[in-house]
Amino acid sequence: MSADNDTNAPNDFNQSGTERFDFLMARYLAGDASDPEKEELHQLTENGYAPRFGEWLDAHADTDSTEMALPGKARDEILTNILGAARPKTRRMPAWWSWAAAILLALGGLMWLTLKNNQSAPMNVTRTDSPPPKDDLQVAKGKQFLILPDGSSVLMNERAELTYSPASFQNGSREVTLQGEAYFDIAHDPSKPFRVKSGAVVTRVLGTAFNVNMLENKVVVTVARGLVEVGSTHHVYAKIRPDEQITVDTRTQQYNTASVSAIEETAWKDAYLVFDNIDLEKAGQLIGEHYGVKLAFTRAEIKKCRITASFLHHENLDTVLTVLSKMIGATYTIENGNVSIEGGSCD
Amino acid sequence: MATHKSDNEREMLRELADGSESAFVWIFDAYSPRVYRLALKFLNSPHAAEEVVQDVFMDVWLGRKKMADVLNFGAYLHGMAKKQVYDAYRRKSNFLEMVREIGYQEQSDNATERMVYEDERERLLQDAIRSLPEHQREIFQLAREEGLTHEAIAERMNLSRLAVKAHMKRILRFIRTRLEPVLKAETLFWLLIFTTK
Repeated sequence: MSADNDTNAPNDFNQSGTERFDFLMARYLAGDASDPEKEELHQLTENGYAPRFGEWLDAHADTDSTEMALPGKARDEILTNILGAARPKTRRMPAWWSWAAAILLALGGLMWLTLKNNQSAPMNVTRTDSPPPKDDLQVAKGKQFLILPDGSSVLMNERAELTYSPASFQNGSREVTLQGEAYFDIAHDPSKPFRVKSGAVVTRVLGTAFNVNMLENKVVVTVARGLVEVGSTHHVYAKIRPDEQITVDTRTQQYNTASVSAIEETAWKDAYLVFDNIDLEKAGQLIGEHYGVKLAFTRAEIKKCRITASFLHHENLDTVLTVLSKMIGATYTIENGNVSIEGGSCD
Repeated sequence: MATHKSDNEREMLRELADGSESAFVWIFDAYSPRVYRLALKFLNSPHAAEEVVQDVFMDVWLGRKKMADVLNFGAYLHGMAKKQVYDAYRRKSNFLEMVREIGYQEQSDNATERMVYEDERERLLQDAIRSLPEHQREIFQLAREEGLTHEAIAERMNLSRLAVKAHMKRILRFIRTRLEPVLKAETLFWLLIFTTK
């Protein structure tokens, strides 16, 4: 009897079993196992070798020579799946938003909001399920970036007009009426679908990003993220997914769907400089590309601060940097096309 | 510098415990690659590996309040990943596709008692299902009543596989909370039973 066998092995059967298990596992991980071998490995795992399986997992825990990132699409979706529905019903505006909104407004001219009471509701403000008081309607006109009471954001293109009732948002009905073109990024709330009405066409979503363009005789909806349902008030025409587009002829109610590039279809919105919950490092790159400057941060840790803000593309660099610096409590200097962001913190 | 990184990590975990979504995203980006890599290695399927990542980090998010007390987050996460990978491995080998269904394991020997509790349980279950958001209710019913797989539900509802899985996880959590009165009333305990289709 040799004494140099595995100390943990209670008997010969298990010992040879462990060897067999290790042999099969090595082949399996190398991608060399045949189907019968895979089946055998599985059987062993089910029959007493679960701890050994665990040891193999441990052995591979930190041999991260080749860390592999999740595909970006999966990352975004998983984050949406996890965080999306976790938001409280009355979504607290993220701190950055209130910051950004306050500063942007204070700076004036950076974005303009045309909100006015609309006593005589325009023709296309069709009835809602629970009709809000008419005098409550807000109308936003023209190119602007707007945050709705539920935290959803709307980037409106030139000549667009958006009508909604803040009061009915409070009551949980998320509905807006759009003329022209706008890009929506909707706060996820599975219990309250968000509806965009464009004439007789209704776009219904739970939490997603999409573009609606209402033209003279048609409505075109393009999805950037999530799933969007397009229909009339009575029935659904189609559900469309990212990089799909539906065009509805508003005269005939005929529609067709097509595969498109959402990025290209919504390129108009990139005339804006939009930071949508990205880290400062990335924001710095975007600013750099946009204005042809180089940004550096004196404190490396602030590169990981995440920010949300938007600017019109023709805004001057000083304004953008002022806002950004205020958001993180930093200062900045510009010298020969080199911007240095000094100090600051993520708090 | 290692200490700097871990200082930052501690801070992120504290913020996460306070409910910061951006801290969560930071942690997700910092740690998901190793979970993904481990799962991919052992499961040989990007889809399955993505599901493991989602499951692990959904647990992190749902359990975020505890995260400030976790001393070694890397090790903690590995423990969670290990369990999910192992579960996924067994499921994959056992069944082509799984539907998670609410079921229970009977522990009571008394038939009358059992019936009373079953009625009560069914009533609470129906209540819980009714109070689910509409599309979650639909997902649940497709799984429970029609026995559809995640894949089939995803197709039927035009959702992604991952989204269906995330919904199922929330639904089950929600239903379990709703059923707590029954669960406490007796030793009857509920399990997530995997049924095959």
